[in-house]
Amino acid sequence: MSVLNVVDLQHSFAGTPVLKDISFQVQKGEIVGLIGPSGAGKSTLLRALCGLEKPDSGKIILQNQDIASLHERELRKARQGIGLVFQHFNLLETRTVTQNVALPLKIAGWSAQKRQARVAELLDLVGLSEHHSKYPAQLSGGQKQRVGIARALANDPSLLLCDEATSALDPQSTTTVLDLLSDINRTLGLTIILITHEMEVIRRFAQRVLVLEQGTLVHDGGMLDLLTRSHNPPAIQALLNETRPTLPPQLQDTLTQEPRTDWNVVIRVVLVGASAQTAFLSELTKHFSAQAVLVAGGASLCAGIPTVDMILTLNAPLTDKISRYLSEQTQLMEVLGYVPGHH
Amino acid sequence: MSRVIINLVLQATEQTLIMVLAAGAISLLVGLPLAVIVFSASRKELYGSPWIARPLSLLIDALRAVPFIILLVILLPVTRWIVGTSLGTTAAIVPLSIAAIPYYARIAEIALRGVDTGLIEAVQVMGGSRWMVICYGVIPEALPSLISGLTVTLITLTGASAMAGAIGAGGLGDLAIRYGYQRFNTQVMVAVVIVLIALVGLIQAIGNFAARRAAPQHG
Repeated sequence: MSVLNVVDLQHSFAGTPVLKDISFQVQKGEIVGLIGPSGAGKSTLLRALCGLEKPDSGKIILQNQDIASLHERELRKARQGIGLVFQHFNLLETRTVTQNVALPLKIAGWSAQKRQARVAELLDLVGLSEHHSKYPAQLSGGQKQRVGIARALANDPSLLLCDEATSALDPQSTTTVLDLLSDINRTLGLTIILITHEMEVIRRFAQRVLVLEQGTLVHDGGMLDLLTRSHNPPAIQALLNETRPTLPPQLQDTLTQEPRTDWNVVIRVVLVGASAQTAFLSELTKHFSAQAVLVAGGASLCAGIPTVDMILTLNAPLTDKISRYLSEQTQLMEVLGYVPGHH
Repeated sequence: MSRVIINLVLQATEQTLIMVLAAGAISLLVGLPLAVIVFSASRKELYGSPWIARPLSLLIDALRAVPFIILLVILLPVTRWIVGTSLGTTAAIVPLSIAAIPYYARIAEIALRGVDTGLIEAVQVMGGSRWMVICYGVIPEALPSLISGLTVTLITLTGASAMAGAIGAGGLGDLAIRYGYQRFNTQVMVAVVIVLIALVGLIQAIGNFAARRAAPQHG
């Protein structure tokens, strides 16, 4: 069941197109990452999704309603079905945690008594019950963002939009906030769209990634597709490189594309799922009496799936037999070049 | 100090307080809505109608540009029409209010402008109307500055009320001019100045306390 259906969205500022024919669907319970370099149109798309910016043309169907064509009054009602988590939290500094979380409920016309019960429930969900009477200034960045999440969830939205929700946080708080969002996604089945410029956040978190470049949607698919594809568009590659292992500088300096005898082959391999949990390196050495040395990368979780993304040097020529073995065992095998061996 | 002088000072203090508080209340009641109108008309996230914001803003500045002593004289007929007389404490409240309204309106508008646009959007995304944005978002966030601004306005009014003595408004300023300046009664002058300092200090202290109460807690 699709929660959100964006059809041919177009928007321009002063004649300059910022969104060109954007179409995509989001299914219930999905976590979708929307990434792109700054100026790609991410914020405009986000603002259009929550009805803050009216697009020139196109449809944004959320819960059988076209956000793009609603009038003020209906739009206000529809916005209650969308939760938005901001980069800079945007909490009311003069209000307590409880009052901040209660505000959307007050706007939606809940009675004081019902509000109180709901706020308690939400604060429990984000683990801030004991801080209910504190002011935002007394909280850490991660805690403030959890208040922001509780507030966004107050009206039980069908869609949660996170606008660079972790970009202002330290790595530890980022992890807590992302874990919380994952939990909410699992337990409540909530659909989440995460807008970010950080590939790392998407890699850990999103099941599906949309890449926006200069107002155009250039990729819509799984994160693993991007990792296991040898040729990505340059913009995507640049984003990917931020989160992928790179060749150490001393090897990069001596790297050449010309095969030379007695030089080591430098390869990148990506293993996903079950194959990521095999004794790949020792098998390689055993079968071909080739020494494979790990120079960069390792194992991690990519959208919850075990993934190995690494760069190896092999002290044996890349015979057909080795090549075949590597392509059978891995999801991606790329030759990066050759470096002098240390024999 | 003679009993007569003490009574004079007490009576003058009362008159000053009446003028300052009445004009202060009127400037709050008229100036704040004026500030809200200018603010919400000038923000494109809210009403975005510069043709309302600009003329109003211009009017506020024009009124602020007129020196108070001149305003006092220009407004004599208006005062007579509203109060029935152009003399006395009650009469002085009219020009004082007319001067204080644009003064506070501008201070309040600056305070409202200081609220982060992100907060306006946050309330809008919750489904809040423009009115809710202002009532639940902008005014509560600007409250400490709005209170500090009112304190400044009240203190400025205390000074201005002395000038109103020129039209027989009474009050501390009037007393200081008549006894202290014109009759060389240093005792009265000193007494008046001490009372004024105490009064201003008191207003500032109450203002600071209220602003602190409205401000977010730290630590």
